[in-house]
Amino acid sequence: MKYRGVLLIAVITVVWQAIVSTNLVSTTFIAAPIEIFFCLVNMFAKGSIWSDISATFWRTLIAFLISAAIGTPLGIAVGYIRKVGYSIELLLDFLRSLPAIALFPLFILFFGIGDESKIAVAAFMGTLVITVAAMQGTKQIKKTRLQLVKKLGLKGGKIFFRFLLPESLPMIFSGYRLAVSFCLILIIVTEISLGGQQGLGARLIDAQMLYNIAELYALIIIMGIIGYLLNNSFIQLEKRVVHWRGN
Amino acid sequence: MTFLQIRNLVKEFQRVEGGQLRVLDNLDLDIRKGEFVTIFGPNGCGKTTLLKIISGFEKPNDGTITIRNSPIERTKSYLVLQSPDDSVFNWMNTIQNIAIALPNKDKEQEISNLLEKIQVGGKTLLEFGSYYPYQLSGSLKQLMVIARAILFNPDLLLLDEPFSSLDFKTAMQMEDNLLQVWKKTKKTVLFVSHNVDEAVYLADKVVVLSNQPTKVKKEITVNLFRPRKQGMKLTAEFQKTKGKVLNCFSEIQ
Repeated sequence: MKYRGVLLIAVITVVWQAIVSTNLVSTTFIAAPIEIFFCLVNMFAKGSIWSDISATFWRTLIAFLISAAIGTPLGIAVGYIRKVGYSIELLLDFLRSLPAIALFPLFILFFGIGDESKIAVAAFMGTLVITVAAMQGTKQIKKTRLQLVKKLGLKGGKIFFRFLLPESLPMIFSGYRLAVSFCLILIIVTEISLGGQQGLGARLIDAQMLYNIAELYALIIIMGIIGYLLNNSFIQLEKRVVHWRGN
Repeated sequence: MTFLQIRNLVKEFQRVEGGQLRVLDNLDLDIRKGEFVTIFGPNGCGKTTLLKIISGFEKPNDGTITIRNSPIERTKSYLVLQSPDDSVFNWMNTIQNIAIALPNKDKEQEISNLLEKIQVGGKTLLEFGSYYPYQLSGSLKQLMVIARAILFNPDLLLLDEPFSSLDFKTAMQMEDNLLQVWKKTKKTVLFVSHNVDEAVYLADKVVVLSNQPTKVKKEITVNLFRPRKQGMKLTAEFQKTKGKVLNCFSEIQ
């Protein structure tokens, strides 16, 4: 099945190239695959792209790690203490519905135009996504199971680490996957809106302003690959950690 | 001497359409220490609710339950639920699933010893020690839960139709496994069943419950000698006892 997927992409690329080569469309805003390919080779050969990739990647990863570190225990706690759950749910729903990017101008005032404000926006969204996932995961635990665990003599931290956390882990991992995608999107959006600095988003907006169409496409492809690899590595990680899921 | 004493137990649930639904109505029951009691009753009469109240999972609206004259909260009991999936932890293998019931870390020997004795289909449960629940059949999972219950060493072992999802032959093997373990450990057992053969075969005493609002309809003593053998299900004494249970059951409207 994987081969068919690659084949499909290859076919689309060939058709795209054919359309551009035969001048069926204007090439003002559309780059040919061959051009994009050479642009990509050039970028990596020169090595200039690596610093942008790593800037975007690390910002995304740090934002995600902050999200997971706050969201996981918070979500489990909110789900576990159901009474608190009801009073905090409205707040969580409101914050989650809020377009996180709207906070960016405010965060720039707080944290400046460096990495911190970008990471803060992404982490804000990621934390909420993970909190809600962990909360749902914990809330769906059957009451009988919790009573059983208490009967077996587990208390306090042991209930958290040996029961609530693993029990909610399938849901939490769905949250992680969603959160890492959101973090990447928000990091790139913040990079685009500031420009000038390192990062794929900044480079993208520069390419557009300099009318470097092939590079624009090449960067989009790089971002797509990063997103794909991040998502895929989370799926692999999930298969290992939550090995009981789907069985 | 009475071990478990239930007096005037009342349990009501909120009806969806409003008002109260009385499930247990002034139920009285006495069980002696080391006795194997099965509870037999119509569907929806509150058998599971009764077990959940005794194990402390649910609070009664009224009435008292004491064990050796002290409140049930101070008694170590274990409730084996109908579906093993409600009791197993999917991220733990068989050994870990059982070890969670034991406080000390060095209990592996104890677990191995027990699992070696539990046989199913020519294999011991120990051979499945490193399997995860999703790799096990329903009967093996239920055996694992029962093994956990035994090692937890409760004063009172409660089982809620534990063999109801098993096929005929496995259920019979499980009956014998349970009786073997019971003989060694001398636990007081309260076993809810919806299978009259099983109820009679296992028990010292069959408690027949009425329809809702539920009371004890009748207690029927089983006079078969022990150890029980599956062949006894064909004897006249077994059939006579089974007949008594069914007669009593047919009177329930």
